[in-house]
Amino acid sequence: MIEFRDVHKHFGQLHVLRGIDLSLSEREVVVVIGPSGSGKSTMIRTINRLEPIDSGSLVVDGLRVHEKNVDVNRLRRDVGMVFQSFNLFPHLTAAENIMLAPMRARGLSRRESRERAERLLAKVGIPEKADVHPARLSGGQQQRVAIARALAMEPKIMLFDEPTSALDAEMIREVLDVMRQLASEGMTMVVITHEVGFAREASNRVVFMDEGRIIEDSPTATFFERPREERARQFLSKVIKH
Amino acid sequence: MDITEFLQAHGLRPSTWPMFADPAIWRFFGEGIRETLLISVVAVAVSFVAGLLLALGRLSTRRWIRWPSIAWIESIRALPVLLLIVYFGIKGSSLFRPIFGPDFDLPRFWAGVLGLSMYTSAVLAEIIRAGILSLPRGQTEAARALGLSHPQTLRHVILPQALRLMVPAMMAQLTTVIKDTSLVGTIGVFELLRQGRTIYTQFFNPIEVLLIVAFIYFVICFVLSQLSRRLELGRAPRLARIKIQEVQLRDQAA
Repeated sequence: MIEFRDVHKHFGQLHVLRGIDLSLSEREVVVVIGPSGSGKSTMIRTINRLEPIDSGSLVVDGLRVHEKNVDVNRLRRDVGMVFQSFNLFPHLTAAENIMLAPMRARGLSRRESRERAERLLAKVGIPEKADVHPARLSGGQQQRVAIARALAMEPKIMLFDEPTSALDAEMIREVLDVMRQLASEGMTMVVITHEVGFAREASNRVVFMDEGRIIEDSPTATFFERPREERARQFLSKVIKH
Repeated sequence: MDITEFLQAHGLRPSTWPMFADPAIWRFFGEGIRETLLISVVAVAVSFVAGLLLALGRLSTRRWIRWPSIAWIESIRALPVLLLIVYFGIKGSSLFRPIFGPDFDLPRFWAGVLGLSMYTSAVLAEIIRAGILSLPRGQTEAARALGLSHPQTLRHVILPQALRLMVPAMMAQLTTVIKDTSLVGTIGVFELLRQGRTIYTQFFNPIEVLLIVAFIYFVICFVLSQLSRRLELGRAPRLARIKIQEVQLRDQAA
């Protein structure tokens, strides 16, 4: 479903991705962890071409993402993304946030989109918030709307870039619950998170990144019981203590 | 020295005061006010459309659109409005003859609108650009990540928010335009100040008339600025508002 081959990326002088090799099959849930500045975020953002790459190849759902003639908008319709800072559209209600892309990019009618929005809001547990603007929602509710918004395009892959890092402890759970449910329904997911509990329960594999490289790529159980790499071990001991 | 002599010594002419009881004088002022407001509204409407296009041009990723837009905006902003108005007043007709035929005569009203709009659109372009840039990057990213195209993102996500942020700045610009319509009198448009001049050159009482004209400008602009304060609604994030203000200040300094 997703295949990185020797992917490199620079930000000016900074070499942020130093030869990423990674492959994901359908229905797989991969958690990416690593210290800040390790390139996790950049890596996930290359999957829907929010960040261009300098060299290497990246194939997503059969599409060579970084080739010139690729229809990026088509690619992005099939790859949902959830951001750390939610990025809901503040001038639209929760339902309108969800309806926008299906109406404009998929050509659904207003009625169909509205039905879809209501169904998804029920799925993420806030059906009563359809006509509320984001400013009146809690962080956890906003992030759940953002997930519903991404799901409304019926994507084949979902990307999560630290979806709970901006949330208070009590709201983290409600968001993780939604993500857990998605994982159990067989969604292909790439999740950057430090939520060890979520990683243990919901993911098939854990990828540990540091300094632009993938240091370790192991099945979840193996990673948490006996991480191969010293750096991963150190990082884990720090994260789990918190 | 009695009071009449005192006033006359200061340039006032009490003997002309009865004329201000004549409704005809006020109808005359009224025509000026109507012309001033009409020119301002039309000029701002034209400038808004042109300014929006210029702002988008300046933000374009395509160099052959961006560079001409920057050059246009920066050079127009560096010219006095009066120069543009006079130019269209003199050359406006011949400028449009290739399009509208050899007998075309550009009405003075439209020459004034064009001069004012040309300058104002360049200023509005900068205000609109600041409004767009003040939105968090995440808004564009989220829209693009959903598969919306660049124009769709502008139309449905960026502009509705940016334009709302800019309402106060645009109201402020409207008051500037209202004051600048006084320049259009130089090419023979009978706006408020020009009407006043017509009156005082007949009655030799410029101080009285100019005081009245000043008061009318003041009332119009004061009401507008109060309105725009109401419209701020506290909705715009503070930071965005400050960024837009910076552009305005820079403009006033220029």
